[in-house]
Amino acid sequence: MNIQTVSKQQSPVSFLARRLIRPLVPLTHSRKFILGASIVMFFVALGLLGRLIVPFGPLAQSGAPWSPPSARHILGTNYLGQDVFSWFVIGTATSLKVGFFVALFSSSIGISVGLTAGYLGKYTDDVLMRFVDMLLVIPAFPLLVILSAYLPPTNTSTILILSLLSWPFMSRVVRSQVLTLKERGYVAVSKLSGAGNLSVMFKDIFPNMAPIIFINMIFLVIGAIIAQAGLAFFGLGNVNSINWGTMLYWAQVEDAAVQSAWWWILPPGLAIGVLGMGLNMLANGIAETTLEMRMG
Amino acid sequence: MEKMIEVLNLRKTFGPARSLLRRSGKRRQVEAVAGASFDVGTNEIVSIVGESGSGKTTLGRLMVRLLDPTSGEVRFDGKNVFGMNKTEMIRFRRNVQMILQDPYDSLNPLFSIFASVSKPLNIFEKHLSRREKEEMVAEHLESMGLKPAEQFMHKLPGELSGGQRQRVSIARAMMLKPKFIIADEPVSMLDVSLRAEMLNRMKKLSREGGTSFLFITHDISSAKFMGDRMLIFFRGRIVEQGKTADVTERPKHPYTKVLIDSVPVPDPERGASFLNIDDAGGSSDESYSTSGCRFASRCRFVMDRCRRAEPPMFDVGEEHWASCFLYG
Repeated sequence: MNIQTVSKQQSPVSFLARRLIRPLVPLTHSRKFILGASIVMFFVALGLLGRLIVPFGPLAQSGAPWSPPSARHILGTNYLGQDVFSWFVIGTATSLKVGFFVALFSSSIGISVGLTAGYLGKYTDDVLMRFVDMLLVIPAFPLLVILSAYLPPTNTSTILILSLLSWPFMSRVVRSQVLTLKERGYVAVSKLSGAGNLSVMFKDIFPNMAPIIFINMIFLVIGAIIAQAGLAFFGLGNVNSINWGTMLYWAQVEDAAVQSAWWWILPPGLAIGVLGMGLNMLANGIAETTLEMRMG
Repeated sequence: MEKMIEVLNLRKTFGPARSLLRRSGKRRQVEAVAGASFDVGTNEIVSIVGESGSGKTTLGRLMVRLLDPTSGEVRFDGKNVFGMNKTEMIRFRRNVQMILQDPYDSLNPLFSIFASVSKPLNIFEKHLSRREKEEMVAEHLESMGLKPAEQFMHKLPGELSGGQRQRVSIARAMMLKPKFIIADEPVSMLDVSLRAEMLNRMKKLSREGGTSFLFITHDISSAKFMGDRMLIFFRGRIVEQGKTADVTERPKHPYTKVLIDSVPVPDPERGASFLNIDDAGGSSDESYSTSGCRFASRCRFVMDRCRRAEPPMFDVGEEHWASCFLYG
């Protein structure tokens, strides 16, 4: 009787839900994670809802040029009399988009290369890793500058260039994880149970390094946002796109510092810093929590 | 007796990996298994006893083809395991299982007990419904003393104790009723209070299910309890083999004698003879010789010829062999 009720409680669906949610529960005890997640969520919300909350079109001349923050313009106006707050909010979306897609594409490449090299080993590993070493020693930023000069100045090409240059570190991390995980007992047990290479790779090895992959994806997001802002600041990429980098670019071109228009320079600069900090705390929170679980 | 699995002159050398840029390093090569030959018959429990670092685990891993050997063969039903094609390999995986030493390492921390134990069913018995699988898993878990099985099936390995995890591992290995199981120190990580029970259960499963066992251990007393036959392993070589009673009561090889003497006996009359064994070479390089008989540097009866040539197996009794020149 008792046994019956127990087995009824554990339906496959509820079990799946339990399995997906339960690993996340310890994270809520980490203050770092909560704070980091709140910061990131704030920016994501700003990016998603941006078009709904901006008071003016970012390109519309909505006030006098160089006017300081006021009730009408929370962050003042720029040299054309455009609302800086609207620029900032709309720019959030672009910057986050670049960060997200670069992290997505570059980690896909990095994970595939890392898994292949680590699992197959031998010559495959040697060839792939020497190629990765080569990419790692090339100074990335000058290369970025050169590449962006050749490609059409659009956000898509920025995403493309950043993705193609930021995967090597991820592949190194993934490979090192595969090297340790493939020696684990449960991998041997899986092989003994008759599982094939692909099954071992994606059911036993890959899920067990998910936290580390996620942490590295977060760092890729930070790196991509900073790199994109850097490129935009130098006038590479699309200078007419609205994002944190182009805000800084125009502020610099139009001598905002000479006009002491701090309200034009500080928001994008601070936002990059704060979002970077938030993402970092998120990653740290995950790292500390999962490491603690591994130890205990 | 019919031979279930046959090991022929098996060798495995670990050493500097050859690769594109590293031709060879300065690291010395280690011969983990150096020409082992023996067989395990149908329905037989054979125990392999050796100290740590003697190559027991490597031997086990070679026999289930988790590693590839440097040379030699392992034959299952007369066929070389390392030359098997895909279909033969599937049959081999179905019939030969291994229980690993460390219960904390041998279950995927992300999979439920049910998922881990039913994995062989998902691969070899795809036609079974979930209900049937659950019943089979429950039956096997309960036969290993995890009752009621429903309470354990949906837990994650992290929620079980070491002893419970090892029961799960054994249940998984028994799932497809394999013909041959290699148990690599299955109880060495368990409480002493649990060991006897686990050994009993395994022995029972083997006797009732008609499964042959290769029981790898460093503990000669559990080997004595488990095995029909005993192989003494030293530095990748079999130094003595024979029926359990013969080997433990009339040990021939000096190393076997040392092993048996080193078992502490709770008897004040016999005294602490094991404390007098000045054989604490451990696993340092000096603790074994590199040519001739590997035991020569630790042997009380060492002769000149021991250092020159490796002793072959000498017949020292009925189905009892020792690799020592004392009997040559």
